[in-house]
Amino acid sequence: MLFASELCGARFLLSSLNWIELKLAPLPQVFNLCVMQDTQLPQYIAVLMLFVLAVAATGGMIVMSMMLGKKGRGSKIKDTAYECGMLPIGEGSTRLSVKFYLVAMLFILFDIEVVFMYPWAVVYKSMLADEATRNLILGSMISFLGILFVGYLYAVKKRAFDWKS
Amino acid sequence: MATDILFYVLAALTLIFGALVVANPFSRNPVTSAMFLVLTIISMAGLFVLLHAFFLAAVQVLVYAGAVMVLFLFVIMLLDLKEEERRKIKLTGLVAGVVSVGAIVAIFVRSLLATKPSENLPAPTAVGDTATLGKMLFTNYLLPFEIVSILLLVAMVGVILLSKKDLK
Amino acid sequence: MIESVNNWLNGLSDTQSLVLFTALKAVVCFAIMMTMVAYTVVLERRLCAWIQDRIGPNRVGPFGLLQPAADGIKAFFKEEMTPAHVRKIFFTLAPMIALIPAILNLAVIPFGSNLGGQKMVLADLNVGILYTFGIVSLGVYSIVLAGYASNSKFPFLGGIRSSAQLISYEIAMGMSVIPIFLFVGDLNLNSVIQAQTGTQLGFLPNWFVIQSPMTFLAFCIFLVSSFAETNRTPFDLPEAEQELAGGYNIEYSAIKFAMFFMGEYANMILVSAMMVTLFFGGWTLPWFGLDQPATDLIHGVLHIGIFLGKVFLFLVLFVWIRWMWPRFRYDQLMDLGWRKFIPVALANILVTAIWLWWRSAK
Repeated sequence: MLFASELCGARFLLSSLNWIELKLAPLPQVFNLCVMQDTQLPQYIAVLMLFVLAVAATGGMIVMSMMLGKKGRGSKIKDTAYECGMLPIGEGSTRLSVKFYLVAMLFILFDIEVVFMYPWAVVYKSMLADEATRNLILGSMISFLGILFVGYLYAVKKRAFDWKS
Repeated sequence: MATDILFYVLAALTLIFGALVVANPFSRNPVTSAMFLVLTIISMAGLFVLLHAFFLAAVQVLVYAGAVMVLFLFVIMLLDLKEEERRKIKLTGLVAGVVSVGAIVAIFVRSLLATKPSENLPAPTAVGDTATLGKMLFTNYLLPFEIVSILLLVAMVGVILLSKKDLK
Repeated sequence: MIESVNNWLNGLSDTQSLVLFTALKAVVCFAIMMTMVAYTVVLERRLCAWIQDRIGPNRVGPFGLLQPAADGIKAFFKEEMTPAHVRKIFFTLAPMIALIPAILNLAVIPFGSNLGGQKMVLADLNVGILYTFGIVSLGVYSIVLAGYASNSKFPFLGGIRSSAQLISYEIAMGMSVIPIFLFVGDLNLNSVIQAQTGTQLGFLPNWFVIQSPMTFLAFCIFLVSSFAETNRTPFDLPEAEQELAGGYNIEYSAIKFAMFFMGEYANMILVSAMMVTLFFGGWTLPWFGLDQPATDLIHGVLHIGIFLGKVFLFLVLFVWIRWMWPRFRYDQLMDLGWRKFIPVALANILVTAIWLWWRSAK
């Protein structure tokens, strides 16, 4: 299973090296479809408005609660951290396990991988329709994922996702 | 034009937040710096939107603000960094800093002066469009794309190797 | 009176009317979402009471329908305690950040076809789904900052644990929807809805959830990931009362405490809306010609009703599962996200791609 995917990856990588020829060939017809996206920019007005609305609403809630809320009296016990009724021992924040760092790092790598998949998904169907780019578009992603899957298998083998211990 | 005003506002915000990342007069807390870096990234995403680079703007938020900065926060907490104390600036450090900043500024100024803005620039094409970007990526820039996968693989192996060194 | 308003509206320039109507839609959407948040809480409390053979809140107003108003007033008037050991600025920011991404994500949800000349979506963005994921990924700061700002052991542990959970399931979520976009070929959410119009086999809806096995699998992964992303049972480790005494929000009180919950419910509504849009045909129904954009007011309102109805069913599902399922252990949760969902989602993408490739062969 593993070897099959690796082999596929290598073969498609080789076949995708045809990119040089493609570069010299005239661009496919679809490129003419690029239209100036003037209709898109005004749409972001809504995002801006929602952002202002969101900040105003959440800020307003906190300010309102500050004004309306009961003013309580502070006491020493009230100001201590909550540890189920015991007096807090030591500092509030402790050092983290290195595993969280590992997860965050792997998250970035997979996130980038996913980001590359979106433009691929968008052009996939139109490039399938074109005989010249048909195998290339499938092969390029299979090799991309194949190479990354090797890394994923390595991570699994090295028990990077194992939280039991 | 409204877009011009927005550009100047966002550019100013980017610069201000960026300055606050490295030199915040009110706080020396590394978490504060990290959060200002998030704000810098988000204002830069706004600039990308104004340039019609919508895909890039979304990815900027998704990858940098949503992923890389979370890692930064985790690292700050992993190392349990406390508020940095103000320390005296060494003379050598000061000289080196001034020289390197001066060099960068000189390069920027020179390149700015070297470019002559022409009146009849070609109309911007929709390079930020996801479909166009995909077409370019999977035809002209296919080899760089495949190399990215190897780069990611190397990073993956490296991070596992480093963080799992003590385990077998 | 109406005529003069009409005249004034017709006299506006395109930009002016765009700004005016966008502002109007934004405010109305925001109001509807906050109302839905309030009533989802009531729904949750009544439904869980019913499941546990209790009565639930039924004193305030008819059938307890004014309960959210009472809860809200209570939250505002309570003493707001900010313990001395917290980092004050982040402590205030964290509950705000819990709500802001949820509100921002309203922008791209197509909640109806059109009403009059207006499209019933705030921002018809071409990068729709990426915008959503980008904004969703910012939600993790609320939890990290709450844990960090509280400067106390339980919130800190809860915050870190749940942020690792959120980022883990973001990957699975992002990967799971790729097959959909392979079929659609556009990231715009309106195109996704358009791809789901019509029927298959004559009467079944052409929704992605039953269009092909691949998209069904995509839906399953997305559904489970969305439970993890919204911190709902069986993935409610951020609020594991029994283990962390409550998680990242222990040190909070009054409205700040309530805001975390408003954020959770708002996220639930949004993720339901996303599922409805991506897998259940959005505002369309395949029968009676309801899958075409409305030409008159009645159909426009009907489409919004259909959309809200579908979202409501998902909210019931969220509540139902919460009171039926126990919580996962942390290692099981990470295992499911990283070791099961990612390979399955990747395989799903490849199978879809190869199938499309094979099908398009001449």
